[in-house]
Amino acid sequence: MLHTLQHFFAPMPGHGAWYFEKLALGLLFMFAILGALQLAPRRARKGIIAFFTFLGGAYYAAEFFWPTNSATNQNFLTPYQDTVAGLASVVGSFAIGLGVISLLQNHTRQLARRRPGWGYSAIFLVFFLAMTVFGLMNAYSAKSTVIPAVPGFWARQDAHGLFQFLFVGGLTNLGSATFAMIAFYIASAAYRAFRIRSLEATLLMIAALIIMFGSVSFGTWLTHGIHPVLADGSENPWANLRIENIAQWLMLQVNTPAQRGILFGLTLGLLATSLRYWLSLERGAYFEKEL
Amino acid sequence: MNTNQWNRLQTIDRRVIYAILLVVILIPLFFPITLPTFPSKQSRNFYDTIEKIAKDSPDKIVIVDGWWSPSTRGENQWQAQAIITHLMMRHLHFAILSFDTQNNTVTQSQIVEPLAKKYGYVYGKDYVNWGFRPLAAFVPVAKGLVIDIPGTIKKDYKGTPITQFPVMKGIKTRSDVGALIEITPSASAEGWLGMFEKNNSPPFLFAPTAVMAPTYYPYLDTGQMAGMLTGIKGAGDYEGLLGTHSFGSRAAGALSLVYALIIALIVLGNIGYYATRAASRKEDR
Amino acid sequence: MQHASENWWVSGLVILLSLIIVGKVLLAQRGRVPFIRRISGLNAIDEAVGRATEMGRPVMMVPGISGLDVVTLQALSIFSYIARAVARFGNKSIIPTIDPIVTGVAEETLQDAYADAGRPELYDSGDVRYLTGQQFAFASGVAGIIVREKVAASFLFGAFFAESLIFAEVGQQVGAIQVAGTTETNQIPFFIAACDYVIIGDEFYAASAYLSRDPTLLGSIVGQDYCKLLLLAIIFLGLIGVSLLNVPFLAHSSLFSHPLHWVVDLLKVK
Repeated sequence: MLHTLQHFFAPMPGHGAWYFEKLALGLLFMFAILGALQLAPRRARKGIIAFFTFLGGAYYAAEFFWPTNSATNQNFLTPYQDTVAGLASVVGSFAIGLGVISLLQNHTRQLARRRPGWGYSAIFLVFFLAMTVFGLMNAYSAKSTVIPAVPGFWARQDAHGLFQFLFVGGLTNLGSATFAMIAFYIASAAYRAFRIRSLEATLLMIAALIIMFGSVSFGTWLTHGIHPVLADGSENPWANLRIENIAQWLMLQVNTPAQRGILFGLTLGLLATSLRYWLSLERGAYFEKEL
Repeated sequence: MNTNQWNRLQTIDRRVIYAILLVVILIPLFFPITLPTFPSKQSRNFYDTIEKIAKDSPDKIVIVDGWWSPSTRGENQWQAQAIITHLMMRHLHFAILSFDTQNNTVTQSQIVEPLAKKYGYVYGKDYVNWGFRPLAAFVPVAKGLVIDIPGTIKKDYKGTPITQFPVMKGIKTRSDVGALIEITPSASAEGWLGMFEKNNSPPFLFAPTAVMAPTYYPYLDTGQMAGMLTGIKGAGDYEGLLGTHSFGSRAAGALSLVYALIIALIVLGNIGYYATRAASRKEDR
Repeated sequence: MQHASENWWVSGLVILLSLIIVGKVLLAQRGRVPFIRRISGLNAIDEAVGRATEMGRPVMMVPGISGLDVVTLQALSIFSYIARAVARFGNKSIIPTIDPIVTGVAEETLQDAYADAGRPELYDSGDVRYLTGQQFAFASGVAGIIVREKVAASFLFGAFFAESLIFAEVGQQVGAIQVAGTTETNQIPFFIAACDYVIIGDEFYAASAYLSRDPTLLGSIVGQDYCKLLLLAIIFLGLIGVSLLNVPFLAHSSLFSHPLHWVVDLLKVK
């Protein structure tokens, strides 16, 4: 166990000298910033946050707009992209810890108070523990025996085997199964939604039927008799009436323009919202809270 | 039939629908039904693009990027399988790249390695695995690949410097890339189109899950995507074009039957709806 | 495109669009508040929350499945208004999350909204639930909550992907009133099939402006609309250019063909 822990915290090949010192400095720096923010007068806090928000966004904006060297396609800011992306990853990793704590808190409380559905919390805690233990063992001593072989009963199981059982046998398959549920939901939703209640609904239904016929073999088989090329080698104008061609036409000439229109609106919405956040212009909800 | 009986047609219990659907999906998977395949235009364009690279620029490397995890393997795995089979059939060099933690292992061990045995592909000589990158690194990776591939990727999935592999010889920048293939359940195309592609070069080939496909037709229309495989239907199309009939073709058969069932349900629901409405109008009078 | 220098025209356009939006926001903050039309899905919020309270069942809000980004923040700011309605009615809300950072922000949003409505005691630490970081594990977790808690109103705002139909269809099965809005256009059809009200496209970004009537947000919406007009004008210019190039007389005249080619080339997808 001690060996596993030592292994876990050991410097990796890329870490270089002063690894632990740099780690400690990083943590110290973080606490210093948090402390400074706490000590700052209430009115100044908003300004500080706005400044750092602006700085974060300004890097990407400046990197994009600053003229580049045509040979390397880089400007003086481009080489720092890895570092800036790394900063985002660091913030993300801290949050994973928060998530785990919140999960454990919620479920132990659920279990302790025997609230309705506490059984699910128990299952969660068991598998959380199993996944953590076997995941770490798999990373650091994959071959260690977990379940010894009992003659005629079961084969020996090592940490790697059990981790695979949980990960591939459990998580992966459950994920696929949930994704596959969509097939069932699509069937019931389509059955309920496509009714000829109004002119628009009828048009929608006809379009859906054509697309469905156009994308499967039996549908395309229905009109496969219309040859795309005439006997004299020229294009057959009637081939436009092949079901897959009508479906393609609907997708490209009806669906695409509508998608584009929505996309324009969404992109502008995204641009506007990003600008408001970046420049700290946002008002409403939590943005106007006293800090 | 009276109003009540007609009404039953438009209120079929969802559990009945689910049960019929399950049977309809399972039968063709165990007893394959062979229906003639009619590959869609975008599947054919995908295929033709790879053929063209094999003919015109066989020295370039093809990047196969995967964002999918085993959750969507029902669609993405068979797309990947068909695409990599094609690359190996034409003896094109390729590199695997993943932005999903699970994807890299699955692609390497379950798709590429078995196929490599079949087609005599040697790791490092014919293909290379560039490994997994976290999503936060997408922008620097996509931008970095444009100007400096070895400098951006540095090491393969096992930590070996990629410059040591013969397959990476002469592969320096975007102009050495034959095509970029993206297999994904996510909205990952925009990133590549924005950060990596320029004037539609190298060709961008896209293999999304079926639910994602309709959004990407605008990019097919503008030529920013050279081809697209739509979900398992796309994988089935591709297997048809390659002449390798595997799970994709069987699943495409099952898909045909499921669509037939959904169409039948919609028709029944509407007959019920129409008849109930007509009957209740008559009663009102 | 990686750098502005690859295509200064497009980059210039981005700057121009940004200036229009920021300009309109600043004008609105200085008192020139514009009018925006109704968004019908949002009028259903009170109805849905009220009905849930009558039935004695909770309200659920899902802020999508992406991390803390612009889309999720926008969803949470819509939820802060819904939570105020929930607090007014004295009901309970549940916010399941897929991202730990979002969990923290969602907790604060809910607490603040309850406090604003004068009912801080309604907040329970189990209302915001971080479930998992995995897409489909989250989907089944949310489906479980909908069924177990018999949610009576479900608000789905944010970035949704393949799991959208799972939420919407399970909600439909327990008879919840559902209002959805997403920036992922390919999920809109699924929501339309299974939800009662759907907010389409950039209405998602307009929602918080509509609900709060805040000058900054209203100014931003109007700025976006001016940008749309500008883009439409550019599309129209391209349309005219390409059409005129197909007129033989103009295409062959040196006076017209050069400027026409220049305009059409400028607008081509690069």
